[in-house]
Amino acid sequence: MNRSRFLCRVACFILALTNAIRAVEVPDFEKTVRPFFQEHCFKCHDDKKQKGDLRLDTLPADFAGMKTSEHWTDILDRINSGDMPPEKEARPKPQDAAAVVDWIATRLAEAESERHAQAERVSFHKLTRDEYVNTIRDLLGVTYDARDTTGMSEDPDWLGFERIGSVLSISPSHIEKYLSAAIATANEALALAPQPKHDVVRWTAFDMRATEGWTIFEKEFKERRLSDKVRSDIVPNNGATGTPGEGQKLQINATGDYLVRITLSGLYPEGGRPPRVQVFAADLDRILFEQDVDAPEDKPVTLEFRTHLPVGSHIIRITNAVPGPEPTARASRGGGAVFTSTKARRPWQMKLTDEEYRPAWPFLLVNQVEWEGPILESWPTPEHRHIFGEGKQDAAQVNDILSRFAERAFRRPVRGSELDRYTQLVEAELKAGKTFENAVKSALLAILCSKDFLYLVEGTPERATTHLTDFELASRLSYFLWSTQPDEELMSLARAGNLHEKETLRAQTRRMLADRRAAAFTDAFPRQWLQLRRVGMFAPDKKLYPDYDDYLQNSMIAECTSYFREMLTGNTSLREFLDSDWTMLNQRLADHYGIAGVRGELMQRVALKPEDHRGGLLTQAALLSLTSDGTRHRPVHRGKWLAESILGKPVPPPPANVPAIKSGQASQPKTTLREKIAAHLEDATCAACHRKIDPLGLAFENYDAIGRWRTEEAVREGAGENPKLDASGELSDGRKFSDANAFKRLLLDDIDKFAAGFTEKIATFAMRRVMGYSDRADLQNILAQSKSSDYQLATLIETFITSDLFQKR
Amino acid sequence: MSFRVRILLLCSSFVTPVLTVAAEPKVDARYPFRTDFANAEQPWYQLKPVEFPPYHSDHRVGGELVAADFLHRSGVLRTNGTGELVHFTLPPFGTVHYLNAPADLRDIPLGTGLLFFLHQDANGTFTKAATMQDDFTMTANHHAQYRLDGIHLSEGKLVVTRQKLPAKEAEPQSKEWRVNAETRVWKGEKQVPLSELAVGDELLANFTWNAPQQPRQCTDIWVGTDTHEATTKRQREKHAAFTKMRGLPAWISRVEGKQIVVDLLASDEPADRQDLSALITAEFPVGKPLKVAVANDELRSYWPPVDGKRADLIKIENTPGGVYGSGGLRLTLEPVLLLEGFRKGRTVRLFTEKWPIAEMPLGEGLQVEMTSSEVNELEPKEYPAQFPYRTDYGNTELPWYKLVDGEIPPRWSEHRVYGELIQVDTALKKGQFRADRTGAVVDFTLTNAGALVYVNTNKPDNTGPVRWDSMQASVMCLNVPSTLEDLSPGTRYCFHLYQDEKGEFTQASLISDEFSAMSVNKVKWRVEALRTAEGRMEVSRRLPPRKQMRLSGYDQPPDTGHAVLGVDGTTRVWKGGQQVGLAGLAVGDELLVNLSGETATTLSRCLDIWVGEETHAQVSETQRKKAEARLKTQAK
Repeated sequence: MNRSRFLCRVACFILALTNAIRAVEVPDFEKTVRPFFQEHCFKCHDDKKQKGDLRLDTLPADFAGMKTSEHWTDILDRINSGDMPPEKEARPKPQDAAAVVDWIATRLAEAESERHAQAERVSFHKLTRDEYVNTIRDLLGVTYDARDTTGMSEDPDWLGFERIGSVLSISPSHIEKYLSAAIATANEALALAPQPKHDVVRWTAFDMRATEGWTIFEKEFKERRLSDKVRSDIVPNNGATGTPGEGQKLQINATGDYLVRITLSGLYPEGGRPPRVQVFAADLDRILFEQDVDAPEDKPVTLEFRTHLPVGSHIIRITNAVPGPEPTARASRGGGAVFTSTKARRPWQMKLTDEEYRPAWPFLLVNQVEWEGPILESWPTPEHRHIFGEGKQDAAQVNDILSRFAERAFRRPVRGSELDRYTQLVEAELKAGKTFENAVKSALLAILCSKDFLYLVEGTPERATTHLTDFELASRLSYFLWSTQPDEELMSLARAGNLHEKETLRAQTRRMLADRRAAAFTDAFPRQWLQLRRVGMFAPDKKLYPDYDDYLQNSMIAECTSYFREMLTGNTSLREFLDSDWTMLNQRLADHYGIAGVRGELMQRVALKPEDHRGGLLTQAALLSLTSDGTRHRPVHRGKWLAESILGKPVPPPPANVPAIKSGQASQPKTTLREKIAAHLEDATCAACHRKIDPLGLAFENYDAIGRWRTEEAVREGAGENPKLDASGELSDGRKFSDANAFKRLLLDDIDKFAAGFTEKIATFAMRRVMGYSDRADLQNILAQSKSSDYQLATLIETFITSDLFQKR
Repeated sequence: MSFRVRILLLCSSFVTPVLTVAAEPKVDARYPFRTDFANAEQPWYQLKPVEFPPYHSDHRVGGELVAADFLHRSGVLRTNGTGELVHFTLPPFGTVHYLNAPADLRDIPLGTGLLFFLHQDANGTFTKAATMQDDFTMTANHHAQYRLDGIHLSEGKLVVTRQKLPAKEAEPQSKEWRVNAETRVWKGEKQVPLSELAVGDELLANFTWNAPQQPRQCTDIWVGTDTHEATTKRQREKHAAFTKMRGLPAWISRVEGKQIVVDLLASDEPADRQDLSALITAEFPVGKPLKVAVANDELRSYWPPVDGKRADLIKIENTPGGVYGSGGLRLTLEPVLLLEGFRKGRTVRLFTEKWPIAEMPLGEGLQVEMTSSEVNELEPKEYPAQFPYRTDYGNTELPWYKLVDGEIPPRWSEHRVYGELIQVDTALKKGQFRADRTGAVVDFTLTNAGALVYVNTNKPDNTGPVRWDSMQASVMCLNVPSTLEDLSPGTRYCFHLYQDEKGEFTQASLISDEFSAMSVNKVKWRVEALRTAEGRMEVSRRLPPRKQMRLSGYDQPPDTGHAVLGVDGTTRVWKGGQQVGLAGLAVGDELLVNLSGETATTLSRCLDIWVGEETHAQVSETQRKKAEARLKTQAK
């Protein structure tokens, strides 16, 4: 290819880009990239020489093509790592190299987004695991425990979003899971077997401690009339929930909901943490219940919860889920240490009370546990009556039963031809000798395993469509705000053909957000947007962070989700995502933050003072910790996360073989992590990107790996005092900040950019696909409308739902 | 006052009752309490938690050891002269001195004359032994010995003169020692006949008690200074090994945050304190970890290999002398984790990390894997908070359990009184017995509901925790639920009593003989020595064998105690249904017995002795048939 053809291609490419490029500051190809290639690359990669089989002067700027995008990725990596140009050649200026890297990274990201955005005539969006559970709940009235070990695997995500159609795949093992789930849920929903016996299983302390040999004392304690005083004393950290082989066997004879009542006391040192009872089903890998307990020894309380349990034998562990001595250090053993009083514990047991018998640790005293169930509203079940109706059960009813059920399952009217195969299945089953109800059940199972149930289907193979039908719109809206199937009102509006009308949509949005099912949105969206599944991914080191536990981690995540809910309920401006004078806390998290006066487990709105060093999302512990590696904070990762999730700006991947940060030497003064990673900025190949990323993370240096405020960094290696922290920095555009508060102010100055990124995240979540260049105009319109109301959250969502974009495929 | 001076003051009082020595009351301002020698108008010193009693706060009584319970650190002494029986216990600080070295109760042979240093118990009776010493100790510790001046074996006497060491300066007055065929003579480690004694030999001796109208007899004579030193050395080494195996005893004088401060419980004798100090310096360096295991007030630990907590030794301090039972050292420890037993006043055992921490000998540790309840933790004593009423072992501030008509009272709610049955009216279910020692005559009425008898159901092949079953009974005879008709006046029984409406203990829920009490606990007496001519035999307390874990053999737990049992011509001895007489007894026989009552000065006497396991089973079976037949008849 000659030079003119190359230039022509580049010109075309640039022209194409010019039309599509979004309004962000990216380097220009002709001014920035091409001169760089000419000066540093063409010498070895043009028409005369193609070292490494790479020719740059003819490389098409087709970032959507898989092969060429691989070439561009390789070029980016080589420039980024400093491999190219070779050492013997003149070194490019760091800022020139950075500009080229930035240009390629941006193009690659855009191309990826475009690929995601490409629409087929019919698009299939698989229900996520949570959506499947919710849909089964609303369709059959039963709970499917998809997160149990026998359930379904976690959905893959794309930048935190778990509902991107192009990412969610299905395999033969999924089909098996769907079939077994359908059978299990149908069996529970339909009254085809004899009515399950209502049982109450009562565990006394003797039962709960049988493995420790308490059982042999039961008769004697009864005869001594002490059996009502015998309780299971549970020390803190009495065993990880993952410990195999321990626990109490619970035989469940019928799948269903069970009421569980635990009678217990919870004692703890004055000013300390209360004990926390956790009921864990080991075989299901599921925490059934957990709660702090504050009740004196002589005044136990009864806690009640409802849980769904499958038939079978389960291993239940009742633990005190608060930090405490390692079980190995306690040298716990049996030996008949039957508990009757805190003043009558065995001398060799861990000391739970001080010299005056006041609690020295948080501990539980469990009197008994009762398992009652299955809890049935009626028999036959309401769902059974709903599906089969009250009339005569014969073949004439089959079509009616199946069409009613399939319409609800497929979330749209069902064509007669579609129904035929299900009715034929019923007929075959009847011929094979099955009862009427069991024959119908076979068809219901087939429906529950069909693509029209498991997928949200948009479009039709007959013709290309750009907009959703009203039924598709009902599903989109319902799965956006409720993560479940449309209710009858939405379906009615769809049948009437007026759901797509803006005023109807607006009214429905308000109705739906006020519904309890909207909790699915206020929980799922912030989790996915902020990538909260990464919180605790690298479990904080127990030695460095002994107070970190599941309760704290859950409270940290709950701060983010409840903060979002509070913003939505109050229709608060997006500004308060960036900074605020309030947050959502419970006692556990408030203690973690050192904020006094917050009681209880429920997340509650708490006013903040400047000395609390909190406000907005960015100083929430969950977000500060999700990038940590379990031992220390990682400012570079914090910066990368902030760039992606908050600023919506992709970050180039790091070059290969980056050496690990060196530990300090014992004889050298202690240094902060900031000082250690400063080497990034001295190395030209690193500096290009790190100048942009690092400041975003370094602004939060005053927060440690689990989000606690600090003024100095605890450094193990090295000599002398722990070094003071420096949270100042300079953005790539030259604006400077002194600390996290100043940094947040700079972000607030760019509220339009934040709102653009946020709106794109909302749209990605709702439309189950990545936004492409073709969506930008619509997004800009939404933004423009929202800006007039200062980006109030609920208004923005309403604007989005009533926008043209929301109805597009 | 030093230990040596103390001994000097005491020597003359040993052979005669102490109270007769303190004939002329005088005042000694050094002691703010009554002593054996002064301050008669003052009250006696009262034991206090975590306080070592000061010297001279005790009352001294000389007498013979007639029973010892090794595990519970208790026993019975028969007082010189009066013959009064004293049931004593060693508090945690209580020590034993034997052969001029620290010792344990189990080291002292029955019949050895000792001087007891006693404090009052909660009832004001002198039963708490701060220490006890044999003659050997008192003489040798005072750097003295006896020179043999005359040998008159045909008259059963030796003439000796006390002389001070090292100058061998003799006292002006010589003494006579009584010897007989039972007297053992030791040269080096060998026992030699009395005839090998020679004039001029340098002697130390131990003696029997001073029975009324009977001079003390030499039980043992040690010949030569080398023998004296070697004997002491052996006992010292024996006790050092005993302590090392069980850990150094200490009590917790305070708990401060994560640290516990302990005082070592050991002989307060200066030489012993020096030994202890040297041991601590050599093996317990400050800053290094040790292991601390919880124990009870009998110094019995639980399961040191498992329960022993690693602890850093923070500090060692010396503590003042002049008190009984203090090793003179206070250690500050920081365990990795505080245990319930790390409370002020409780005891612990300390091990260096180098010492092999073995399990306690069978029966001695307090974990529940025992073969007899007799050696298990005593619940009402160790865990009084479990009980909402007063028991024989604690909760003195609470009222006694009130019987509810028709209901079986809960375990440990009874007040146990031992006594000899005087009479019984089977029709009225009433009777009388004479309480042991006090001689008080007690009227009793048998309750209708009876009581629960807890029976150890462990089989020899069982391992792991002790197994129990309970059965209802009002009367237990020969290990069988029986009726009042089976009771024999003149026999000693244990009465489980409750208060009547007047608050008197007259309501008996259970009457049980000694045979039954031993049987349900699976313990026996084993004959160690027969002195039937003297009206006594020496027996050891035996636990049943225990199956070895994962092995096919059995372990015989060490004896848990020993005692003198009285016998006479009226004692019936049974073997396989035949009455065989005292001559039918042999060393090694395993016995169950029924006894007569004990008076203030008379030990219980065996009324019936059943020899061997077959006999025990047979007599129980016979009684079972008899009781069942009676019940059938009564039912008709």
